[in-house]
Amino acid sequence: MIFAAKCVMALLAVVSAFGVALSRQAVHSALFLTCNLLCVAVLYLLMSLHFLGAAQLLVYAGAIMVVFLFAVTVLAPEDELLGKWNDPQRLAGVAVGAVLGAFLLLANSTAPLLDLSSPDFGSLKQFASELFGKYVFPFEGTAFVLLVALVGVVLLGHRRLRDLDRGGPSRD
Amino acid sequence: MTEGMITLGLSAVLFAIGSVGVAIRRNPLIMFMCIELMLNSANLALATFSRYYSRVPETLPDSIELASSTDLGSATDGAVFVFLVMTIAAAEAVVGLAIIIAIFRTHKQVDADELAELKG
Repeated sequence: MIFAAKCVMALLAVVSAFGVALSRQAVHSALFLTCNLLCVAVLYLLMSLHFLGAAQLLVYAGAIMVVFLFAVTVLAPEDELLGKWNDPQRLAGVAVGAVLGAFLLLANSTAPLLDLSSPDFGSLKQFASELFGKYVFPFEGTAFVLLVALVGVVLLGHRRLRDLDRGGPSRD
Repeated sequence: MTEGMITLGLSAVLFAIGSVGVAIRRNPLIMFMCIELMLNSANLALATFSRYYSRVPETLPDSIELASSTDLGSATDGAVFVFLVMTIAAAEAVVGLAIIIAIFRTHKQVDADELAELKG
């Protein structure tokens, strides 16, 4: 049952990933990406990683996608014609990606995977004691990273930065 | 094919699709979404290893040498890494989109092929 559910979710994730990479409109890409992230969240839940499933829903499918959709609405990028497929640069990109994927699959297929987990695997108690015990310094480090990101975004979005631009088209 | 192989193979496929997307698209927003896809696929691989990677020394490949018999990590190590990567991804998405919007303000268009000021 879980196996079948995982197969369906994996298939859906692959289809939506192709949607992200090949949609002509940015908003379609964003919606396909949401679908992909939701599929991955379901996969986390099926692997009984409950906290990660919830965090994936809140952080990725919630917060990050809202920022993406906001950016798509603000920028309103025009449809991108994917053009002809015999463009050599594009073909090279696809070939490199295909080779990369093939090697990743090859390397992954040798991994010794066994289902040996303890029954309470994925429990919040175990996760929290790891996060606030062994990994408390990296956890505090993420707080610092988020603070730096916040300061950087405020600086980037600040209106006075416009004065530093050399000859932007409008200065309203 | 075990259950762990599905998610591990899926993570490889998603990473490849993301890299193809970064290579063939010209819209920075969509390139950025493809980068998110790749980060997410790495997360999926970490979560899979956290759940399924064997911690029994006899089942490990010969090429892996353990520093000690207790050096196999605990079951939630990978999950903690996924959590940290999610935080970094959130910070990266916000900063990247702010940069794209700042570029759009001055150039009034977003096309990765047209943005060549940093090309020496």
